[in-house]
Amino acid sequence: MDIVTMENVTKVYGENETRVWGLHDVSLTIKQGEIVSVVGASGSGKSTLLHVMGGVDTPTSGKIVVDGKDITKLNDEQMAVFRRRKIGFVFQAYHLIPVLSVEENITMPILLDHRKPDKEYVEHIMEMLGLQDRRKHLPNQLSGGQQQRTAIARALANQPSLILADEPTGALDSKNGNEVIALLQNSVKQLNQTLVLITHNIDLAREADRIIKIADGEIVEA
Amino acid sequence: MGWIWHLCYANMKQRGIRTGLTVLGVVIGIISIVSLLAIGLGVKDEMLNMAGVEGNVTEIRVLGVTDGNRKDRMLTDRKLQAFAELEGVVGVYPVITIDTIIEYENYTGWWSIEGVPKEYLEGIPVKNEPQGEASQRKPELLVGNQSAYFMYNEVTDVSYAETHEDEEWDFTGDTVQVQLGWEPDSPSGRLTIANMTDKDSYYVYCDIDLLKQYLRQMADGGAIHGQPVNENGENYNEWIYTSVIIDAESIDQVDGLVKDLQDMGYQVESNKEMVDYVQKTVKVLQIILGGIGMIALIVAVIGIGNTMTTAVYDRINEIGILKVLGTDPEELLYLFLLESGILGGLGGLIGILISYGVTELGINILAVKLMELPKDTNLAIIPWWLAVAAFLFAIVLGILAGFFPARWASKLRPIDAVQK
Repeated sequence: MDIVTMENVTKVYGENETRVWGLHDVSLTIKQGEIVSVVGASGSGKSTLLHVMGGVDTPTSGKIVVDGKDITKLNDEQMAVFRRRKIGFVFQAYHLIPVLSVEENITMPILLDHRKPDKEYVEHIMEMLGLQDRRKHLPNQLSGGQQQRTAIARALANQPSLILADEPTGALDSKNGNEVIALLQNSVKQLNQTLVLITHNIDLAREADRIIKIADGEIVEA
Repeated sequence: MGWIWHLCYANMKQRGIRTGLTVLGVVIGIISIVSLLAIGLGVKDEMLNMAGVEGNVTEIRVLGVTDGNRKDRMLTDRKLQAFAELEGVVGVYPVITIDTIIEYENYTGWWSIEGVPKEYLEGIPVKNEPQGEASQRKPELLVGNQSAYFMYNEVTDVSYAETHEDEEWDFTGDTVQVQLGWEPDSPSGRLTIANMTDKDSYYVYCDIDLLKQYLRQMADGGAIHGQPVNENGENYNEWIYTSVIIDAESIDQVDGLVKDLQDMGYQVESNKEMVDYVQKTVKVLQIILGGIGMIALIVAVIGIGNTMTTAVYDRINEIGILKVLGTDPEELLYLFLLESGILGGLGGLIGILISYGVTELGINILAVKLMELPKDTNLAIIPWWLAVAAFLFAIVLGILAGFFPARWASKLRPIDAVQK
């Protein structure tokens, strides 16, 4: 089953002379349960690809279907609902809410969807990511690796259709980075999730089911 | 919605110092405006009290004719009945005023003794607890606490008030030699001073029935002192009053009653003009005080606005995260409005509580003492409606101050917010 289908997606920044191609006529499909790596030089458009796929940025033209829904037709409110139900983001800079504890950060997407957190499930992902002892800590009391693990747990909390990770190890040293990636891939496999992972690390990229190479906003090798 | 409260609480707690300073700004604004308005309100009551030095502000005094033979203009018991039937009248009290010369120690005084009905007499606040039963034979005097200004030393021509400047004038229990009228051969007798008035007054009061009895006694069968006579040099066969005090139901009815009585042909005195003047003066004072308080409050509002704007800029990243996580734009707006509303409300609440302290301790006790006003003077009053209004006002201003930053936050594109 295809979880993501992109057809002729183009993203253009600026106008006329200052026009920059973010994405140029990109088409791809990603299957349920797949782990896909996206590689490419900086500025090649890989982040843009992730953003339009996750509904935080809108393409200039083209069609994006995620879990059976054409997200290019959604308004702001519908897009917010889509993001919190279908997408789990993991960023390079962690992006945790600084005033909330680990546990509160993890359950936030569930609360934003006006639902009660499933305690057992939340407990399970915290255990999987080794965060049980840190549940009451604030983000600034955690190491980088722990913060990123919290961000991963948060991305998994709502059992989304698609996990999008934008260089999740970029701010970590290689030991911590490898650990985090291992945990991420493990969790995704265990929970039968789909993962799209942007990385510079070619070793990490090779562990994925498939590698997509991007240059100048175009897919050069899939 | 639960998460909004929680995140709001977590934010204010984590950013304790900033929250505290913003609340402090509102507190100061609210204290200024509430205290100044409280003074405006208190001073009004106090000035109205002062305007009523020689009687209540709802009192009207009708002056009658007491000599010649214009019987129709004289105030008799029958006229009193007519006054009682006028609309808005709650009390009618006849008064007989006798101008007297009194001797007290080596002072000579010019006192106006007013005979008033017992129920009116009992309504006048007195300085001392009454001792024993009042005499039923002779009138006892209730002396105005300012009467000392009308008592002079025969030799030095200095008033009792001046020579006894540092004392509280209290003649209670003493007797004075009272001469009815200023002619040298006027009848004279000794009367007891039963008490002093507690409010400022130049009058000397006594029971009108006892005064009538006393005047008749002193006349010894001849013409009664102070009462008019007919062509034959005899008194009329009923009492003629010097004046009548009419008590109106409320201050708003005074004007109408004054007009009615003037139409009936009487000369009328009331405190209404004074009251009007006081009210006008107070209104100006209130506008000035309120204006100063308003400036303080505006400064506080700018403070909240500034805090909320900074809060939004500070938290662009957090806003971005919330947006990426899929927060409804509307709920994001509520989050910030709730926060600024709480800041305003909290400041308002603390401000009102402190205002009560400031007005009670600072103004009604300390300032009153420094200005040497009577102890129970209330220069500042905070009625319940002022407290409630100030609280709601603080919340509304807080929300308004937070509105524009909040709207801006809710409209940010998630990707811009995260990347900034």
